[in-house]
Amino acid sequence: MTIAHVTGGVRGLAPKRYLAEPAFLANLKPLFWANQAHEADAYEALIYALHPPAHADFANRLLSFRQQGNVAALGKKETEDRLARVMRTIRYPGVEPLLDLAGTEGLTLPRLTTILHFHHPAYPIYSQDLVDGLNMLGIPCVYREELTEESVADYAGVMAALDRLKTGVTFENVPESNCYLTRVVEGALVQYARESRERPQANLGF
Amino acid sequence: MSPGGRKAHPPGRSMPPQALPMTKSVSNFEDWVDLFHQWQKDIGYDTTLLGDFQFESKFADEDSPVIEFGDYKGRPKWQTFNQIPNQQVKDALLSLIVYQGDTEFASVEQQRHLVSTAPSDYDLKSLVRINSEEMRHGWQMATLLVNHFGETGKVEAAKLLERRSWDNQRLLGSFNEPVRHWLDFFVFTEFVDRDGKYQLKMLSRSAFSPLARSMGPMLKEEAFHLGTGHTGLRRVVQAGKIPTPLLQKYVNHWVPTAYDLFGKDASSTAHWAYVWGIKCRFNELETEDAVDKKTLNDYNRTLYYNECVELMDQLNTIVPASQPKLVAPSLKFNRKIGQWEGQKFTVEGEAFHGSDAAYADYLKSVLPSAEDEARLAEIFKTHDWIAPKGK
Repeated sequence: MTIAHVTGGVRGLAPKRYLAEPAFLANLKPLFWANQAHEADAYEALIYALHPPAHADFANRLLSFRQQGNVAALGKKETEDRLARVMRTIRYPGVEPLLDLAGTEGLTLPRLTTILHFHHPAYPIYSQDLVDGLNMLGIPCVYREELTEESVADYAGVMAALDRLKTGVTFENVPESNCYLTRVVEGALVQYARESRERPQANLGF
Repeated sequence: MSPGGRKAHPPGRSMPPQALPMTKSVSNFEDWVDLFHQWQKDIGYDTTLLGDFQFESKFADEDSPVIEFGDYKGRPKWQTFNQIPNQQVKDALLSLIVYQGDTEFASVEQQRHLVSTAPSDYDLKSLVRINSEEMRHGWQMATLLVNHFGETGKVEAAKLLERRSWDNQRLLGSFNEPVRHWLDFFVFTEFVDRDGKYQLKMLSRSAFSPLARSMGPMLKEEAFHLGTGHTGLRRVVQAGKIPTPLLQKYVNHWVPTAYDLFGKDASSTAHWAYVWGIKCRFNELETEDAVDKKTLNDYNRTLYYNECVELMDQLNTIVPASQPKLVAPSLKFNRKIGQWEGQKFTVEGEAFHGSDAAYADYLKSVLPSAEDEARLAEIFKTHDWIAPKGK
């Protein structure tokens, strides 16, 4: 039986997850390394250069990861200070401090979590690909760009899902890398979503 | 020799018992935790760096309810101390746990001073995480000792925190060597921690269930340590400021100490550990090779060597054409135990035919010298010795 035989609908969700999640975890290494082949250089150029707290120019530079553009509003002194305060005080798995930046023009949740991840690598970068990857595993998660109470709660749900995967993976399937396990699982899920879209029939071999 | 063939004390480094004053006896695990916090203070570890890291014991689910190798194969695993068949097996298990725990605390002692010279904030985070997890691994071993091995276990758990790396009191040679700077750190985490991966995996199928179930979470954490070492060395090579002949000297220094960690080639303790089902081969469940219980340490060491060669091949893909390639030192080079102990071989494994004095000169030329240390210190001042270029 393959995942392709278990699709869709509420009734399909549980068995899909039952099959897909272990298969995904068994393939964590190759998926992560495939993602690294595309993203490692950009990631390393940023993470090894960061000296917190990141000022507006560097925060915007962090958004070059996955080409997310610039947030001009980060250049305002008040916003810059607020961002620095959030980065300094937030503690995993808390997410409420993110709401202190709600209303900042152009600062979406994916952008904010990108900045957050580079300061605190235990937090994942929230993205459409990540949420798609989780959904493909049968884990219901929601993606919304705007920075609101609801979307921050959705992000907390994504974090909880990742925590479960991080706990579930066995040591044999953890790649030897200088990346936090959050980044390993996130990168693998992003890769999983992208490959599934590019080769919908391939079923990624599992 | 301990089970698994690890050498108790390097030659000429006998451990004087009087050097280990008991600070406090351990009646229960809370007592040991007090000692642990005292140890952190004594070694000068800045605990504010640890943030809200939770020291705790973690146990994975059981992979198999029955013993998977050795003469007890097929029988239920031992869940408690009283289920262990006889005193010899109990002693062997105790020794294995003590040696593992000793390395965990030793590595923190070796690395604690690197905090002030981290090349980047993320490198500092990595170092602190590695130190935290090594402390947690020591905590895990102490949990086993205190909770399962009676009064002897409690005494041994306390002694894990009384020996000191810088006084040559740690039980294994690699862990008494100073980790002087970040190049040492990256080579250490790449190669000496990699020996740790081998030891942990060989214990992950142990007949003593609490020990076996301790290994999964430790190995998951260890993957980050190894990745830190390998990525660090790759970044050093990419930056191109430390010439590969100089880097090779540090590899030559550390890797043979890691070879020695596997123990004597023909070890009776490794033999018995296998027979009793408490420590297997690194690839026990993947290989179809018939087991040769007389050469278990050498078998595992050879697997380790092969992995080192692969790692060097990966690094060599980015070594510039103008620089010599890196090599994994031969298993014969600069060994302190086993069949090649004290014999004269080159890094490449060729017999050295000169006099002892000539060989001493050769060793000076391929191992780090005071001049090399001074040269490195100058390179470190440039801040661009590691990629990406620092500030």
